[in-house]
Amino acid sequence: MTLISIQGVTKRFGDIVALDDVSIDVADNEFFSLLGPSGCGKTTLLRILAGFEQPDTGAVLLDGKNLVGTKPYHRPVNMMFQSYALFPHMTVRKNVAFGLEEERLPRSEIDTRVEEALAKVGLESMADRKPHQLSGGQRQRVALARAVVKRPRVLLLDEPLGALDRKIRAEMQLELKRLQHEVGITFIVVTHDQEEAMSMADRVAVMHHGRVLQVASPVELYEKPSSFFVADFIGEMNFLEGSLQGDRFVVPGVGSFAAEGQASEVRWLAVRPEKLLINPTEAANRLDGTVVDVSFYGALTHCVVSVPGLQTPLRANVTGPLALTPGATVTLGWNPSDSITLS
Amino acid sequence: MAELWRRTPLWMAYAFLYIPIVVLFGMSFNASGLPTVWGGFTTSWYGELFSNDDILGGARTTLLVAVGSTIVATILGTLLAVGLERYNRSRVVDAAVMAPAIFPDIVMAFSLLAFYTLIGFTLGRVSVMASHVIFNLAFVASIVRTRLHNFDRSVEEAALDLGASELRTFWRITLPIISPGIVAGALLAFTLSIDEFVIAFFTNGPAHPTLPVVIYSMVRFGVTPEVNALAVVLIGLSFTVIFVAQRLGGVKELFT
Repeated sequence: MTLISIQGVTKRFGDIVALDDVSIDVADNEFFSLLGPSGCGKTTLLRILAGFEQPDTGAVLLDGKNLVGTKPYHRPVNMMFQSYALFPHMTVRKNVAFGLEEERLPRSEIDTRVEEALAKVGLESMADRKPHQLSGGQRQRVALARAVVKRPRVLLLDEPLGALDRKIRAEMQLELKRLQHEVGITFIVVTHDQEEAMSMADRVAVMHHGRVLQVASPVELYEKPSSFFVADFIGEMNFLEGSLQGDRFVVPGVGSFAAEGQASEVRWLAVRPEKLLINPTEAANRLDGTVVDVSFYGALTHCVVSVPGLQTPLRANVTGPLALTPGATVTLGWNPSDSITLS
Repeated sequence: MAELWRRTPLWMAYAFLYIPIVVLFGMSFNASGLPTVWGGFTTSWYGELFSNDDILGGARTTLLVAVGSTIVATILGTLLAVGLERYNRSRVVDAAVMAPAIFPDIVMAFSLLAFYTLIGFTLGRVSVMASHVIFNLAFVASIVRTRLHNFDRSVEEAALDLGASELRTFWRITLPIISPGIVAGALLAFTLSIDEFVIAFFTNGPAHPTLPVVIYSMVRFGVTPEVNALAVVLIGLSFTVIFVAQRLGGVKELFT
């Protein structure tokens, strides 16, 4: 069931178009991610959902009711800020209680719900500390508790893991997912980190230059990117430039390969590095080249192969170690069903 | 030895600043009453100080003016700072706020006198207070602004997001966070007002002179020992105020 429906939202700042006719539907209880490089408009969209910005045109419906023009403090939507934005003069407990106090709930209910929320993020013992006495990870939990305690219909998270170091980040990723299941609130997470989006979200909207390029599940985004930008932005990708003639993709000066697509539009043939096979016994498409570099990463080995006629070398990832040294001649192969044609 | 040489200029600078005050302190306990002769230790000047009606009257006027102008300047200055920091894009308006703090006192004093005469404002305690509000406003606004400048606006947005209206947000979030700046501004305004002479001399009527003006009329014909005692009391007061302001952290920000 659709909870939030963003319909044709456009937002300009002076001459800059931050959002260009954006339409997205987010389902109830979904973990949704807005993904894109900085300046793509994802944060502006989040701020429109929170009520800090007004769209120039378009509508934002929550349960079918238009939210545009509603003040931030009258929306059943809460936000976790990138900087956490904790109130520095209040204790952790006071921070978490703030939203409930502003709702004028009875004291006893406030106290129970604050304790509950603190327990949920494992901060009961820190309740009487001030924000400056907490670590980055703990601050983030306070920010989370403070937003969740209001039981909003939608929780907006702006780069929730951006300010944390690597190890805590992985931990918090799992924790955010767990929390979302537990509280049953729709999460909309803004991030520029594709791994973060892919690993946490049910669906991801990839944004670029104020437009939504593709909305899909992480697996679909990875396997069936709809544009060059998405194919390039999500994971690693090898691109061959050429044109489609019948059922062959022709790369001038290199060769032709079996592929599918619509002839007039296709400009790129894309293959994931892990779909490129090295010296395959059987593969419909083949290319010869020279090994430039072999990097061993434990579970994976990255092999960079330069192919005569191609400007950028191709990359093949294989599991386990690889008995090749730079300078060796190899054949790269792939199956047509593992390649994607893009315009 | 090298260490000593390096520190010499420091100690000389401190000596230059504080020797006059130390001398004054000593003289306030000098029984002879002459600045050149030591006649033994006495605290009688302090006793005389507190039974001198002119001085007590001046002190009363000064306190009244200082407290009144501080309260008004703190409220208006804080609002002014918020307005300037949040909504003003003009550098001219910006500069216009600080101007009263930089103008020569004598120019301020004379122009205020001319203005009051023009509009027929009766000179007295109220007119001095109004004049002090003008320059105090500039100091309070600039101190509060430094505090606001380092203010993370997302904290206010978080409050709005959590259900607090704009007014509630200002009251519960903005004001407490900038309060050290406000208190520091108020303390500075208070001390500035207490020892202000030129403007108070020009814009006051004859009935209620402020303390600095009373002192001036007393020393015109030579330094009297009870003025030494009075100066020591005033220095003690200023030090206390500065100390409190520094503890609150606002003054340090003013100078950085």
